[in-house]
Amino acid sequence: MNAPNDQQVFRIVGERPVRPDGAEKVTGKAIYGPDFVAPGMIHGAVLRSPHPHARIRSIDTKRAEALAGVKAIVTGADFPSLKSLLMTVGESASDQVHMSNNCMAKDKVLYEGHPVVAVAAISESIARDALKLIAVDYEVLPFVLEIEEALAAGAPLVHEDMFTRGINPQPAAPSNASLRVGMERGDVAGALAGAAVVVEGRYTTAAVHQGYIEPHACVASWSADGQAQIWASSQGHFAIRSLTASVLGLSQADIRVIPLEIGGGFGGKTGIYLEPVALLLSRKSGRPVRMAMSRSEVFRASGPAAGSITRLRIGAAADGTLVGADIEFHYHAGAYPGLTAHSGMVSALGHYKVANASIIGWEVLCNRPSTKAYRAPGAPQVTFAVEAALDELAEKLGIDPLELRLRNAVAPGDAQASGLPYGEIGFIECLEAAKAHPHWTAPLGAGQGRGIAAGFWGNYGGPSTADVSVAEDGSILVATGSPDIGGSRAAMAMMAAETLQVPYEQVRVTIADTSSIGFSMVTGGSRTTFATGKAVVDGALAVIADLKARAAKMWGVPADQVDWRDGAAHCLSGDNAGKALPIGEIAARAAFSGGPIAATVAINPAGWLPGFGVHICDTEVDRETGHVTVVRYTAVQDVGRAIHPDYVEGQMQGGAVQGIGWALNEEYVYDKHGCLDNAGFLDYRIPVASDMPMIDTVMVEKANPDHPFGVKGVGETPIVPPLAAVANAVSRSAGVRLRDLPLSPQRVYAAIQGKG
Amino acid sequence: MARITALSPFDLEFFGGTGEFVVAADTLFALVRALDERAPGFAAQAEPRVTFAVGGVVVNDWSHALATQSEVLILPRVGGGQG
Repeated sequence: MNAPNDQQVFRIVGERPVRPDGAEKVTGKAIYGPDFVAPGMIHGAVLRSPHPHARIRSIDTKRAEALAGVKAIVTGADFPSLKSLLMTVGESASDQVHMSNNCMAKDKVLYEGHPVVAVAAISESIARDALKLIAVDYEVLPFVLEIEEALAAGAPLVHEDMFTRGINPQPAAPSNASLRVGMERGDVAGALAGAAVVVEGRYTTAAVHQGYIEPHACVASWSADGQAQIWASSQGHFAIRSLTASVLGLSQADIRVIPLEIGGGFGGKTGIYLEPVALLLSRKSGRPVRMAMSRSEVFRASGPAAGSITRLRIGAAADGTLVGADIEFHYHAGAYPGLTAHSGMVSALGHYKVANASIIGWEVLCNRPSTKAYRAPGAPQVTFAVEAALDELAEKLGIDPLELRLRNAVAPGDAQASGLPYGEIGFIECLEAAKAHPHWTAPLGAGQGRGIAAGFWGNYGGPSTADVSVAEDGSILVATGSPDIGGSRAAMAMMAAETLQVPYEQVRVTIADTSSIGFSMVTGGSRTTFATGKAVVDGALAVIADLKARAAKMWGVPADQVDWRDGAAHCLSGDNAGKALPIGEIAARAAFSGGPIAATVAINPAGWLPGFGVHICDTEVDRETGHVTVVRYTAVQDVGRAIHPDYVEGQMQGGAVQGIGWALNEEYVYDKHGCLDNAGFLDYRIPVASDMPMIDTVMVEKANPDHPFGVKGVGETPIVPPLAAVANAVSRSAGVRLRDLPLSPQRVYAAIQGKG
Repeated sequence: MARITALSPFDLEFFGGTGEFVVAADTLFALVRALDERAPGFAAQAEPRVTFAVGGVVVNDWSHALATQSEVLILPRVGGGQG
């Protein structure tokens, strides 16, 4: 669906060509993190804390060292002492001391699964046997897992030196609240007092994992000259380089990180876990070392999305105009400070015009693994509360819930939470598209309910480098530093081909390692097709300018007398007017017209725009068991321009399914000892294909004027609306309002029984 | 003098709760230096945590010239995780 102002015509953009990485992947030839093999490679394993909170008194590794086949052992003592320094991680930041301590505990363990010792041996089984021979003496400490207990007076402190940031004056006493953010506009109390209807509630969501199928894995090799190589799958090999160098006190130029195929990340692979450990084991052993997490280790020791508690009051006038909102949310941070509260603050009401609003957010430390980004980090949790409350408001006012949203939706020029005006956003177009979709008015079956919810994500730009070069035969090579997670190789090839006006198959794209191309930020923040794509387009334009200059030399005319179309230079004047030189002919003579034809572009573009989504969900509840079935689902999203629509629809479907899992099934379950009880896909249940209906998608294409082809980020928005869309549907199916996720059968059944 | 608005948490974390003030600076680089003098430690936090908007538009190039009446917004950078 194109917005009315969309007039651009394309040759390749918007088509659905075969993906360039497809054959390798479906035939099993693609090399993912755990697949890579280096000559002489040995295997690492990690001894992890069995306690959620304990002080390490001593570590005895003598028996493990004596085991035949063991080549190296690393503890926290092998890591250099670091000063506190904030490092950029993706679009957020973490202290290098915290990152180091998360890779290997030094004096305290802060969660069950926290690494304590690592062993490298000639086989994985010997490495794991060696772990059993290591004796760690712990002073077990009291622990906190939940937000409210972590904030209670006298609660055990995860960090004794953590003082809440964002409060003035700074608190005198340390606290598990690591950060407070807040914003206020207008007269909230007055607005709520004068509202025709006010909805008040407490909403909770559980900590959930991204659920990427490929576990964290790497191979590291330290050379005798002090240089090192790391082969790893990640969302950003430049981030792996910089963070590993920081944690180990190395020069970045001495670490070369070679990207491997990635089997899902969703924000969870923007940091480091194994890489510095593997590198230290390699330095000690003199051998390349492979490390790979088991599924259990992924759950116990990598970063989930924050669990949350949101309390709110939202008021509306009788006509449905939102007049005031008072929102306070608390997010888990896990063992180390996170930075998702701000995005929660700006996401909570950013899609609606609410004149009077107070939004306060907190991040709370607890003895769980440190949280990481997960698609639109910080947005789904608070949006669930707001969108569920809007549903209640619509019910109380007797207004169609979609109309209520339309009445309050932001449009271009309206203020964002920061006060900056929105650019060419398409939220209203999405709501209109949802309203026009047959799903919205389709009859429901007996016992079924329909929910709708909206949400958005701000997206991002960020630094990217691209190389575009022309081979001697006129084929095009594009190299970027952005790992391909969601189809960016195809999108880059299409944008280069569109710009150069050559066939898609004439362009091949490589993800270059950290020593072969300039810096690129992580593939995250829904930024790659926008920012790296812009670099590729700029590179292709530079190549065209060069090609035209070469053709002009050959024809003996000024460069401005050469036009570029259909993959060829066209002479506009002189004796050769009307003649054409295809790219292959120019490239074949490149050596005689100035040398190789290539361009490198490094940019840090602004001009990204948020993406808005509206989801409709139908559910059916088995009243005897509480089991919920999603029977129909439609995702509508402003995608800017879909370069390769298959991938865009895939992002929308994938985000929706992950959000449905968050709403219905997924949660970290801890036992009374503070240990994770469901660290595997049998007990931590993500949706599988047989659980899902077809996720219908509607792409609303409202082009971004700050991108050559109108691109907006699409990867994160689709996980924002589903939590409330599902909960609103289930609440109607069950006949009782449900404010706590996940909507597991026992919870839904209990709610039905409580009502009855 | 550029007019500065610092959003949460920077207003309370660095500027004593004063979210709006004026600073003499001709570029964003100079602004960061001036703000670091006002609130020691700000510069170290700015690179990994801050996004600037000048006149309502996000600006990534800190050599961007500031006019006498430039309105500068100090925003937290927002994280993401597609894919």
